[in-house]
Amino acid sequence: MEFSFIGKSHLRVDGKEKITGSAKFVDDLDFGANLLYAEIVESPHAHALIVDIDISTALASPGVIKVITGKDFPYRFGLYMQDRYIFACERVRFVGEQVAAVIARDPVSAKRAAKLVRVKYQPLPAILNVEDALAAETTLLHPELENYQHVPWFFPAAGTNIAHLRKIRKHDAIDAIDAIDDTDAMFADADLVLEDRYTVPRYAHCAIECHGAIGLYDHAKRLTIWSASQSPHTQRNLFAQALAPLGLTHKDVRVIAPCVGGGFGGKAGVSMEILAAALATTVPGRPVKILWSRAQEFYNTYQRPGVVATIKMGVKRDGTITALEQNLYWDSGAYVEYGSNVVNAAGLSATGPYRIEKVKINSYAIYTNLPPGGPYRGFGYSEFIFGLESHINEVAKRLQIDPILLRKRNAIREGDQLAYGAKMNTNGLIEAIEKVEQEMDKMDKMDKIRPHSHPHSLSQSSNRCYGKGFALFWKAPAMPPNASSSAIIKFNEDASINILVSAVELGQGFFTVMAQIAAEVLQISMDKIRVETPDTDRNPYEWQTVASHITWSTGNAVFKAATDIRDQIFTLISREFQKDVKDVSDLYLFEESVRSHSNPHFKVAYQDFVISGISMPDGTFRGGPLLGRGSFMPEFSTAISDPETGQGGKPNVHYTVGASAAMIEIDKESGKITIPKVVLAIDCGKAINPQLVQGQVYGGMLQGLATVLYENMHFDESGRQLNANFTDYKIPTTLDIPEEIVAIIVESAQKDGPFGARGMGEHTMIPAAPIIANAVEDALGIRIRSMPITAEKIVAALKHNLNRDLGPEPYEPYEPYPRTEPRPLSEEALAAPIISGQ
Amino acid sequence: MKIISEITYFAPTTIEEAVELLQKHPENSCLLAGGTDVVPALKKQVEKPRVIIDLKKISGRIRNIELKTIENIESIESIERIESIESKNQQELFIGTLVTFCDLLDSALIRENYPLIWEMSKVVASVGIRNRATIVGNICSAVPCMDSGPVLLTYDAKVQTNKRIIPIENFWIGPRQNCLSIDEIVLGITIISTSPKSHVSAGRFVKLMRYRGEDLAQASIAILINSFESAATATAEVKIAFGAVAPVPIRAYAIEKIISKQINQWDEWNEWDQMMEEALATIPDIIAPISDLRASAEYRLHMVGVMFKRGLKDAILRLQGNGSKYGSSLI
Amino acid sequence: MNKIEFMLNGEKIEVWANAHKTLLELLREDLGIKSPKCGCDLGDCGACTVFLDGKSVRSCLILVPEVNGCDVVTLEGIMRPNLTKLQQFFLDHNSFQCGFCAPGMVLSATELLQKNPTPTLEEIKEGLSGNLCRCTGYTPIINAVADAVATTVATTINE
Repeated sequence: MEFSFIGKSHLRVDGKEKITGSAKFVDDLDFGANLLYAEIVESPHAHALIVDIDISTALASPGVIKVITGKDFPYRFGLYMQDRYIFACERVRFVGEQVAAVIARDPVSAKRAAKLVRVKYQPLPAILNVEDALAAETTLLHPELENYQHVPWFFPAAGTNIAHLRKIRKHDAIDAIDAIDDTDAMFADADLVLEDRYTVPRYAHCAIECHGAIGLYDHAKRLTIWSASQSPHTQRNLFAQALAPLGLTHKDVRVIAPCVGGGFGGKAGVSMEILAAALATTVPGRPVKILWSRAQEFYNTYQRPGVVATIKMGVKRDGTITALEQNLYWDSGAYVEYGSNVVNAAGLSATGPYRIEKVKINSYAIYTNLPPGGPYRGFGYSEFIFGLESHINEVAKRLQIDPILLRKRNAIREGDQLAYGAKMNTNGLIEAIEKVEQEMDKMDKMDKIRPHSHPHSLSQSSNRCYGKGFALFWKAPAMPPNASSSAIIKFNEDASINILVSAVELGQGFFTVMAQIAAEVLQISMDKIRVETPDTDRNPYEWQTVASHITWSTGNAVFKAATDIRDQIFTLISREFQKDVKDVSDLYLFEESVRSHSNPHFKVAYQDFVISGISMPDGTFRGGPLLGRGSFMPEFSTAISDPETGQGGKPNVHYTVGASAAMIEIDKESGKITIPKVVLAIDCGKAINPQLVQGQVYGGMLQGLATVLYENMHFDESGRQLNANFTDYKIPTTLDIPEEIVAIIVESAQKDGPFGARGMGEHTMIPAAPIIANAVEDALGIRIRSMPITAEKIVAALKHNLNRDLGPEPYEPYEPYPRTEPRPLSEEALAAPIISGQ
Repeated sequence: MKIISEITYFAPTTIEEAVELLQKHPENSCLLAGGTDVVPALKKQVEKPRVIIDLKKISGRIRNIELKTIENIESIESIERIESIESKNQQELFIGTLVTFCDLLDSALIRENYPLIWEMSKVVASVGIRNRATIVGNICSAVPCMDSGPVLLTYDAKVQTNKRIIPIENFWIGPRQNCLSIDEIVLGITIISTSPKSHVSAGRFVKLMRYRGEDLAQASIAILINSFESAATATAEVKIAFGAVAPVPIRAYAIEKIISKQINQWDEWNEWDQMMEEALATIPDIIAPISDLRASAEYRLHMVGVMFKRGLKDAILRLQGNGSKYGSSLI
Repeated sequence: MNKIEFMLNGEKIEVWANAHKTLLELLREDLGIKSPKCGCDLGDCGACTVFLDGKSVRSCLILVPEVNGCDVVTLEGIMRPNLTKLQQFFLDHNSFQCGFCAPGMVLSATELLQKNPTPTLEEIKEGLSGNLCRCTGYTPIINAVADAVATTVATTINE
């Protein structure tokens, strides 16, 4: 089908405002001289009871208006599980947690006074890794866990630090599901069983804009929050719920999200914004602003959780995967109100894009005294894919099968049964694999002709080696089953339109995509479309801008709204021009006018009626301002399933799949990796804007490469983050990009997506870690099982000649710096890889 | 990140005025040039009031400074301006206190005659910092991982203050500690070439970072070879210094000794391996790297060896005219 | 309080300010100039880049009294009032996503081309390496600058 706007790389509709600095971010908004500023008093302890808070000195400090503590807001809140307070009450659970706030006339006074709040703590043992959290004699972080409210698909274990356990048990012979817990039986028919352990540390989103929010509670008791948020409606909902004891209802709460300077999941849900909401209620009539510093951005928003994964895979000689057992131990941090859904999502999908007969997955959300783990681009998939895709290469090596062939043999296809029993959607996985393979063939040539990157005089070829790595990836939106979107389209006099939606333009380009969808349906040029940032009072409902679901879900809503307006136009025109046209089906839209198939001369321009109405010969008008509405909810989705097996539900609406590969060059002396080429092919159903898809590949891939090459979080033994700054938490610069990134678009239409589109924004970072890990193994014969794979780690591994062959000992992560990465879980997990079968 | 200290700001127009201010506020004053170290420090800590003495309004020739020279050098009075890079007779270089890394990169004089300073300046942070940060500020902050330290050591630079001239090697007394007294102001750095005019020199600066972008050094090394043509034979001296692997940047005299023995008539590479073995063996005794979140001591030690090996080879090749371009990467 | 006089985007400004205020804070909070952004406030990210006496600097690392007598130009000041040629290249390449780093990046790229109108790819990367961007992977930004360079060179040759 030929489209006018879909599939075209239109320039971003918000390009000009960004390139000129006109885009207004939350800290760019002015609130006048009455604006107050809040500064947070933070916990210096990872785990402690709050004995006493003395605010008197701070309150007497110049410029101070109020000092607020947990006692003022003893209300629990949370997205999926209400496990936290607005300010810590009675107990602090991570270093940096908010204990009190000072509101003052200016930020300097607030900051000075915050240092004068005296808090007396009684320290408790801090749990800084999952092993300690699971130990028999551990300290409970949340003794009241069993009383917490949560969504019905979470399963907390009272009396432990396990906030949620997602279990999946699958056996293609349905009756045999119960037998899956007998692990030996599960692997009985495999020719080879390989077991291993992979670890992934915590990571930070590092949007360049820090979190910020301004709250205003006016004297009429209406609460308005301006926030740098991916989730304005979800915030409204949670603010209204949490502050309901003050008499607030949803209609009294309004959330306005201006341009957002990057999110990557970090600005989803509710984190520090609730402070602005709560504090505003204490100073009626005066706006109060709270901005996170870069340091707070690191340790007091969500972090990407760390994970320890044990994988056991059984295969036939021909490479068919027969069974997979995975235990994912997530370091979910002090509060898991959002983060346990990461655990849930990963548990559901930890098979990766493979058809596997017998599956046993346990995904544990584990409380630790580190900052709250939460959503981060990839939502748990990047983490388990590192281990899974590394492991598949190890299996292939032992079977002496080409790792790509092994993947092809087991690649999931449409209609295959997923681990939780539902069926896999249409997908172009095989096409993606083949296209990446073709690009890899070109890499082989590069390998031969590539000039040395070092001065010729120093090029000792023995120092340098090349490797190629390949991996598959997939991801489904992780959403409650009723996550929905809605849209309103309204015409203006000149036939330009405003699209009102409440998704957030974080940079991903959704404004442009929504404009293209409406332009296609209504045949309006792109420069006549404005999409605006959300305001929960004015714009219709959107669940959250997360899960890569906006193009699909909000896109569907916009498509419906545009179709709604189109249908109204057809009805009106066919009614008022009965002499000229046959009926509704005779009409079509073209170049901002209504045309007729049967009457080539018929043309009514939008601007002649969309607001003014159709002018009739008798001087009357017909019609009226046109308004389209559309809403979308995936009505087929359910999260309810058997808690013991995970079978029976349809928790995921669809998966987006793809394949990726990298070619790397390693300097064996320094351990430094350079990347001549990366390829990523993704099936986005339909690329509504190919250049924006490409942009997601460039951005996501680099973000992923950084997690595997150098990004890392360091905590000291008291649980304090040592590198809460860009000086020591290194995010890539222009000098750190691969020499070439090839983005390949595969289009296997998503039947329920707008023009066949499905999401792809998060996915582009998911395969980055295993393609590098596999390329390192290809180059050096060394399997590194802990991220990041730093230069230092490579040198250490080479030096100790670790795991050069299929030798029995797993490579122990080289930990040059004392840190609190999870230690070995158990004797079994530590055991050497098992090669069984014949 | 607001600065919460009360700050009293002064912008003296002469050095004398600045010295007076220092004397008047001995407890809490701080000199300001580029501010790229001072301002973050103000933001990160200190609630006590601070007196900031901005040197940037001082310009023109520095007069009436009584130099108590500790070494007999030619009068430097005629050339010094704290905002400029000047040279005299191609024998003396003066880098004023307000000279930024950007100024050094833009200077043809530096690029041609002091290429190690140029090569080092190129990997200091990034443009927006280099436009502001001064090399004198860099040495005064005395952070162990400072970029300029090793290079200045190999050039035998001297620090000229309002009171004295201090060999750069004596300038640092520990991490973040320099030897300046309360009312002492660095006016600039001088490099005096004591060698015959006919010498050729080449060198290599290598900085190890976690990635190619802006980063602090995990370790760094500067190597300078001066080769002299005399009537009979060619002779050469090698100077080597390390950064970020000891409390302060340090000269590697032991290695210099080993290398200088053989480098005089360098046209054969066949003794390279043996020389390297000998030289590398001394490194653990010279440096004292620590483990921190930027690198482990082991990796630093290992990489100092790698950087030394590659750096020396490239420096020799540069001397011979076949080396890499200054500013190219080596690791 | 210190009395400060300086030129801002061609306009003479006189303000009284505390010495603990940074140039970034002065511009954003007191003078309504919002294009310089606060990303890290420690000089690491480059979002607060402005021109000071013609050179790109981190306005978060400059105390207000330091700019007395200086010339400050922000992104607002380089558009007169239209997009610069370089901005047009950024626009045409869909170079930015969230746009938070854009003002700083545009200024750094502007300075780079002022100093060196024909940078190599490596020099472009070096020139922009102080401006962190988390969205784009930099490729569309670098491509825009490279395209601007190529076009300018081509135009010059054609002339």
